[in-house]
Amino acid sequence: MIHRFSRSLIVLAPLRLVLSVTVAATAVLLSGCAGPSPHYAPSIDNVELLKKSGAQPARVGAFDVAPGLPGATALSLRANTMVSSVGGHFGDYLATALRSELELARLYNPQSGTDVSGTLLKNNIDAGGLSTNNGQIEARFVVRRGGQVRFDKNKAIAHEWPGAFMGADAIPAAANNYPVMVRKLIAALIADPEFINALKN
Amino acid sequence: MKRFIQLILAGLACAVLFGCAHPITMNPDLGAVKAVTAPIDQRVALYIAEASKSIEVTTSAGGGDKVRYFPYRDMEPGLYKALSDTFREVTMVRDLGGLDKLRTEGKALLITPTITTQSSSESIVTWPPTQFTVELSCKVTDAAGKTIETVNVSGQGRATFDEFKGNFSLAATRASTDALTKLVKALGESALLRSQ
Repeated sequence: MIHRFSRSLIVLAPLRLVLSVTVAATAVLLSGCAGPSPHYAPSIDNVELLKKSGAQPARVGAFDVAPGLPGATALSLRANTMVSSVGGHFGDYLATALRSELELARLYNPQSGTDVSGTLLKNNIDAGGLSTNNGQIEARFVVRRGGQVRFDKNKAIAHEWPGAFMGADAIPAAANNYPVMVRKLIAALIADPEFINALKN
Repeated sequence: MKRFIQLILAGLACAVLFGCAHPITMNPDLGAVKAVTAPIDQRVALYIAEASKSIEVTTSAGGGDKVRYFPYRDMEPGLYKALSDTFREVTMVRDLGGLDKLRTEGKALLITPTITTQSSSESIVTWPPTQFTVELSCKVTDAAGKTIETVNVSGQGRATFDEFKGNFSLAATRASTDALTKLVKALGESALLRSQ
């Protein structure tokens, strides 16, 4: 909720001021908006690791979402809803994130015979906390080459950030932390030597 | 229970009446940051100290509120992308040990960015900034620490209510993208860098 009360409120009669503040507060607490997730920005630590890993270029295939997965297409951030800024669900967001990491490391090639795909298994944000908020993501990553599976593992992360009383503070903070969660998930993948080996010749 | 409700109402009234600093990001649109000239045949290192990444800046926004964000943390991927598109090879260094290692590995230029920002809004009823400015200065030094070039660019971002209602950070995103696009152009056109 981004509307705030005008400073001209201070010229209102006391009763109207109280009523107006009550109405505004109710609106702040109750009204919902839908917005896209922030753009994904690659982690340079991930990119540098990839560049030094000896991995060969790969392409990124489809990342599906598990059937009936809560948070697959929309995440509730208090009264707001956040949808994926790319594709139709958050599996597409994860695929785009992984592709951007590989691109920046110059390890993305859409013609490569090595394909990284996967399935989003968990996608959750709890943004209701006053002291802390948190989120969890889990995904299955599969590397195939020539129809042969070279890597097939689940990776999961949890992430925590400071909570806030006001939705106008807590909601953008939660949205801003979603790309951080995805970066942590990709970091967990890249840190797995078996994944790197699967990308080598 | 009554005390809890009083605390909630007091907090709510304070927040509504006195404003607060809302978190936004400056994450640029990396797809828009592209090389405009042939890459410079140089190996460069981007130096952003770990301490710089934790610097949180607070600037003006709408309705008397403010916004807060992390300029170095948010622009790091964009700076890395800009240098990747401009130079043959890019690496990241975060401390003096990394700098020494780089110098012993051979010829490399060191690029140290300085970021300053401003934001504002004409609105008195919405808080996201409608105008955002990113001043980006990149000092380029050689292995001996001698300054070879300093490139200064200014990125501007504007966003109207209809645009930012789905993305509170839009003006900031546009400004950082604009600054990086200009940085790629300015670095690519630098005769001093091409002659090294």
